[in-house]
Amino acid sequence: MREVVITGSGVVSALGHSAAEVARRIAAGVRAAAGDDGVSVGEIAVDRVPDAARARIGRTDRLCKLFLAATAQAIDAARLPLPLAAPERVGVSFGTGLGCLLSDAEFYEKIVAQGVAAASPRVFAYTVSSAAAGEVSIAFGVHGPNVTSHVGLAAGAGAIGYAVDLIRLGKADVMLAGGADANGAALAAALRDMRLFKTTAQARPFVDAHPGVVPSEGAAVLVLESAEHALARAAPVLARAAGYAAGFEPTLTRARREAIGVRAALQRSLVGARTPGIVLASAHGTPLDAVEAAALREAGCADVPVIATKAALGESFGASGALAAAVCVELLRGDNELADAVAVDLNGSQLPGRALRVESALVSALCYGGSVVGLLLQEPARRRTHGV
Amino acid sequence: MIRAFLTGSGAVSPFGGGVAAFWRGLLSGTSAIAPIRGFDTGSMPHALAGEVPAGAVDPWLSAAERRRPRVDQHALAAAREALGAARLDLAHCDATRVAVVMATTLGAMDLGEQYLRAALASPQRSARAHRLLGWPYAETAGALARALGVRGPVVSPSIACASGTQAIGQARELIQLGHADVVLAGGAEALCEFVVAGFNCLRATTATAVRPFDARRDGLALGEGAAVVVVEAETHARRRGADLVIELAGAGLSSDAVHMTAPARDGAGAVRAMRAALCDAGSAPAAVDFVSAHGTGTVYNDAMEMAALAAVFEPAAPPVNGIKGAIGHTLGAAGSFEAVLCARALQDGIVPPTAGCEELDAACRLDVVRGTPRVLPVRTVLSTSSAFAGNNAALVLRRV
Repeated sequence: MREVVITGSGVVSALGHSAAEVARRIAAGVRAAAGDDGVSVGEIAVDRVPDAARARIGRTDRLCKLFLAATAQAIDAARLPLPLAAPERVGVSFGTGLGCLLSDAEFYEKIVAQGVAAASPRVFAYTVSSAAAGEVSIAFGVHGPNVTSHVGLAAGAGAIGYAVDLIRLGKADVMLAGGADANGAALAAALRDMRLFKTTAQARPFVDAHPGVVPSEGAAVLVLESAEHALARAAPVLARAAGYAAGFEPTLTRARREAIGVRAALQRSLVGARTPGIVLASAHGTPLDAVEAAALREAGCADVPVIATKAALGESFGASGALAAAVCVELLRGDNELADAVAVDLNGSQLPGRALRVESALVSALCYGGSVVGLLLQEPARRRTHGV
Repeated sequence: MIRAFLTGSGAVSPFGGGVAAFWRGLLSGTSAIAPIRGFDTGSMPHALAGEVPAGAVDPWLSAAERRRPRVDQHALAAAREALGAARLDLAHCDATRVAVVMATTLGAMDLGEQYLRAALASPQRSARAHRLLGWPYAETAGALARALGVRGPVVSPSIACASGTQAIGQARELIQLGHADVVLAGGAEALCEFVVAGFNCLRATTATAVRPFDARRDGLALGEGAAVVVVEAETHARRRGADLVIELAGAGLSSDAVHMTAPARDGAGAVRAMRAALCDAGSAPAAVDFVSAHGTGTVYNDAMEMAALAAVFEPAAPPVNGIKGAIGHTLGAAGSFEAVLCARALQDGIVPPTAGCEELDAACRLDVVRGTPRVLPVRTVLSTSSAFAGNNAALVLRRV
């Protein structure tokens, strides 16, 4: 089975525009400010997108811009030369929770307001969730597998896991993998309609149990490669993708604690590995927090400190698991100083500040709909025979 | 690597409920495409589609399930038929080893339409707000998983018109890597105003009939329904004494990286996906006995496929058929319907005719099966799909 390593990352978020910056600010205890519509990343910098593809960007929707910007950053960070040397061996795995719903609404509202004759072919082209990955393939000349997947709020983590699978199967040597979702006034209004819009004060991990989210947006992309491919091109190896498993819990919509599917997926993502040094959890003060805590305890992580990235970034839907993975890679790279209360335990108790030096970390991504994804990342220096 | 076998199929199509109705319809060479009746199409320039007849899902669904979004009804009915055909009772399986890979490009768009209309008509948006919960695209796969008690991986691949092919390819990958023992894989769609307006504004629709590879072809008509297959690990299937007849032998993916809504004219992307699937299966092109083509009936898609199939199968392609003249373009379900067709062709040694193809395009060097079904020994088949955003996917199935 081929070993998979991470050689670069790109992030667009309300807390910064690189994984290092976001990780540093989360470790320092900084939280993204939420406005009336939740959290916004503001203007999206697309200056790293190749010149030849820049002209297309004006046509695209916000989801495409987020994914393009994060991917361009990740390719730079991984020092992946463009044009790609073997484009058919490079793929894209994109996860999104909401996908094209905002473009769907834009397209359909015009039909309702002005009739079918007013339908816009330009907007219709972006009413497929695969549009963002399609734009990435055009911008960077990717000819290999190109897959967009919906796994609810676990989509970004799931997309990274699927990229690991494709490399392990030998279907690609390099995968650009991650997630993105866009926020906006229409989404905030819809969440309010459903009484699922909440404030940051209601989002304390493992303490609050308020249904709903602090809507946010963002994108994170990792460059994953087979270890031999990374070695051959002397790429910087930031971390190893050591474990991945996905599952589903049919009762999650009722938030029962005996969530067999959640426990099974998180345990399987850790198979053969020692207890991770830290968990990056989905918890953000919802009824699911108790389910996640119970599953993590059963998976042997009862005493592992937890960082709840959604408490800092808001709920960025399909981007959230990928953002957590990008932060995770940074935490594995070296000593980090965690400020007081940045890490919590599974009861929600805030832990004192500490230097963090970990060899492995678990990303736990849960979705209200039932999906769960576990990703085990390890720092690259140690050699192991267990795990994936 | 663990081998993956297809042990059951289910379909809800414009020909009615069940694989038997789908297969009978295809063999007849007729088309189920007709003027749309499901919603008002008053201002649509072209309004033909293949719609699932009323009552088609009833044999497989409870009264409560028949109140779910139509896309979920299609998916669940097809899944239950597939499980029945596989003689597989999920209650006897480890639920954490059962997966769902269910593709859809529209999902419950009809709920989204209702919400948006209500939101524009009235400031009291909350009156329709509950409809939003069923709208997100992962919800059809989730609804299927909840209905069947699935606890393994649940994912909804979304690569537009190639999604249904990818769903089945991804099922194979889940089995190969040991993520699951059983995967319910397929695609489901429910026709709605949104998508008919969309393809009309692209000027991609026909006013008369869908004619894949025909000299007079002038566009597509949409369709709806669901096709689901049971994909099973060899060891799991053997343990329970299932028939191991059809191996899901290979899957390939590629990206055109050229255009968002038009295929690469030279077919290079489709060629890469087909070659990747054949390589994955360890099959030479000459081993393929039959190709289920994407065949949308648009000028450019079919021309692209003629070039792509000629390149892959040089000097001569095996017999080819396309089903979109019979049931319409079912978008995210299309590749899954083709997988069900391929399984039947492998089992029965019959390839259905290509409904709508009467006067073969003079530029077409393919052996397009037309008029009547063709009886031939079928050991290996290839199915190919192409999509918006330049996505291509292909599958190889083999009789063992």
